[in-house]
Amino acid sequence: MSFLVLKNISKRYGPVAAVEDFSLDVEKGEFISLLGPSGCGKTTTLQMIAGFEEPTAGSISVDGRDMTSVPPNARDIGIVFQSYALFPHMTVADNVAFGLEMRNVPKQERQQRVAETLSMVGLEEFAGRFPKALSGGQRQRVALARAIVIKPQLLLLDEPLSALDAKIRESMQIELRNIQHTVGVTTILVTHDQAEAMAMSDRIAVMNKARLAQLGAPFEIYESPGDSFTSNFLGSTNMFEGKVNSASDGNLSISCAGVELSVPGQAKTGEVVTLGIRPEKIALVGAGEGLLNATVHTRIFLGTSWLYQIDSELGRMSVTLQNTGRDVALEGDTVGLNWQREAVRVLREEQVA
Amino acid sequence: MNRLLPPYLLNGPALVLFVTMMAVPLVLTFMLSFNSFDFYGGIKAEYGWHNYYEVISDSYFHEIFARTYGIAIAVTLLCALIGAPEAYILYHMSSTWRSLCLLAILGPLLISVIVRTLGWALLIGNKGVINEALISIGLIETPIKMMFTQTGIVVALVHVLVPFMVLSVWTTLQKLDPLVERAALSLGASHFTVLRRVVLPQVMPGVLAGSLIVFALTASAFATPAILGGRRLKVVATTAYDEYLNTLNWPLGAAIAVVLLVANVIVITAYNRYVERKYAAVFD
Repeated sequence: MSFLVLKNISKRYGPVAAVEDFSLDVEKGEFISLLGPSGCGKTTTLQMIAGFEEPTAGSISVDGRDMTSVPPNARDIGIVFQSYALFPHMTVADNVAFGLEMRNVPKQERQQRVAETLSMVGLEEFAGRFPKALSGGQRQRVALARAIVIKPQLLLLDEPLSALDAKIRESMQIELRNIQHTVGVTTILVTHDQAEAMAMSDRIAVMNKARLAQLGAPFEIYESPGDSFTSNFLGSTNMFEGKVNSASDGNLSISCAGVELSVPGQAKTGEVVTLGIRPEKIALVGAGEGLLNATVHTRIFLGTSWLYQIDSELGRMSVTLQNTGRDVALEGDTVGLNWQREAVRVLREEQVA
Repeated sequence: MNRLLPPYLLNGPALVLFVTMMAVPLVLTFMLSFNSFDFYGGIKAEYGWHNYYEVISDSYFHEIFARTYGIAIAVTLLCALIGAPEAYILYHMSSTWRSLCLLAILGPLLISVIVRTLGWALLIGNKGVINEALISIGLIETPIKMMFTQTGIVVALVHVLVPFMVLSVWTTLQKLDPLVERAALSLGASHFTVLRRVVLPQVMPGVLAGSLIVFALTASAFATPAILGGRRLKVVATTAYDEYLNTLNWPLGAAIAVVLLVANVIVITAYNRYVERKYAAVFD
């Protein structure tokens, strides 16, 4: 049995379902992200795991023990809140020591563990300061130290990096991941930032409209998104519709707006399907050399890459190209679009709850 | 035109008002307190410290000052004990209930202190509602004396002043991150520990500020002690009033008023400085 088991949990407020029939098994030591747009139910799910909300239906168990209606102060869970929720009237050391004090850890051991944890997050020199005198990134580390010093069974991170600016956020992602590896604590991260989820997690649970849309390793989800929502929420996707002309042996022949495409996948002949292809999987070639011709509408230089908006028979498409140091197609140029057959995915329509 | 002129002109009316209504009477009272008084000759143009000497040396006045500050401390403590939890409960209410309860708490401020105090007199008098009720159900034989007692004054003043404490604590609660309570819970604290270790220390500035208001208003309160304390259970403010209007010894009344003012200013500034120093490192 998995370490953390969420079994068919639902949370309804009157007729509105915040979370609907959500199941998830998390292994010990795993780092899982709940990813989704705001209002998708990811924060409610986290609060049910923390015990601040009780599920309307379903059960939560940790390490084989049913936790569904255990109060939050008896769950042994460390939480890092989006606002950090530090105790402003206590010093950094007192903030970190609070959870140990609540567990009646003797003073000497307490001081030792606080010192160890503070040095793990690189704040040993700030022990005597008040939160007011710290920067956002430092406060974030205090919040993390306070949550992990108690050696909790579970670590919950509620959008912990969203209040930081981009540079610090990136370095904190790596640091957070390293600390999680060192401590080995089972961790659930709630985020709406797909890059953050992909960078940090072992697996991602994509949520949409109160339900689990897809669960899998970051690479797996990115490469084979199940439906159009996941495909568009994780990275971006060019989508177009087509009609299946013939299907045989996992090979589909599909006509989209007059273009004939050969695509791997399963569908019935005559069915209308949505196809998706990632912008970075499309190559620009000379006019007439690719699968179809198109005109460059705009191009934007992003440093590491170029972002093209290209008008083709399939509609407006995004294409990203690595910046290799050479200048490429200009706005108004006619180019050919080419891609590997396997790069195109047949997507299910977004499930509506 | 001088750049500084407009601000001065705009402040002019307020300045005139304060000078004529506050500064002038204060200075006159201060000067009056040095005059001599003779029962047959009235106020004489002889000046000295004798009024102050009388206030400071006479045990009659000691008792009155001790009573006044005793009442002030009791009222402040009670207001903090009642007002702080009240504000905290309000903070956790749904918004409809909160506005209703806020109205109920602040409502009394819309009624004159005199009317409210007379209401208390009707309740706690020997023939008042409380005593009559207790006698009629047979709990007591003779009425409990509540009118003209220190307890009566304290109870009525707490009722009058508790809204100030609630408002003050309420304001600091608004600045509290609602998630700190959850953070403390998740770390294993009981609800009571959360209150004692996390919420209370953070609303302490509000409690202390509210205490300051309540203390200052109680120490100089006149109407409530005058009505509920009568002519014999005196506080400083009613004593000064009696010196002016009954004994007609205006210089002594002025000296009492000045001593009360100075004592209050000292207590309040010392307290304020203590609070500011204590919380400067913690809060913005």
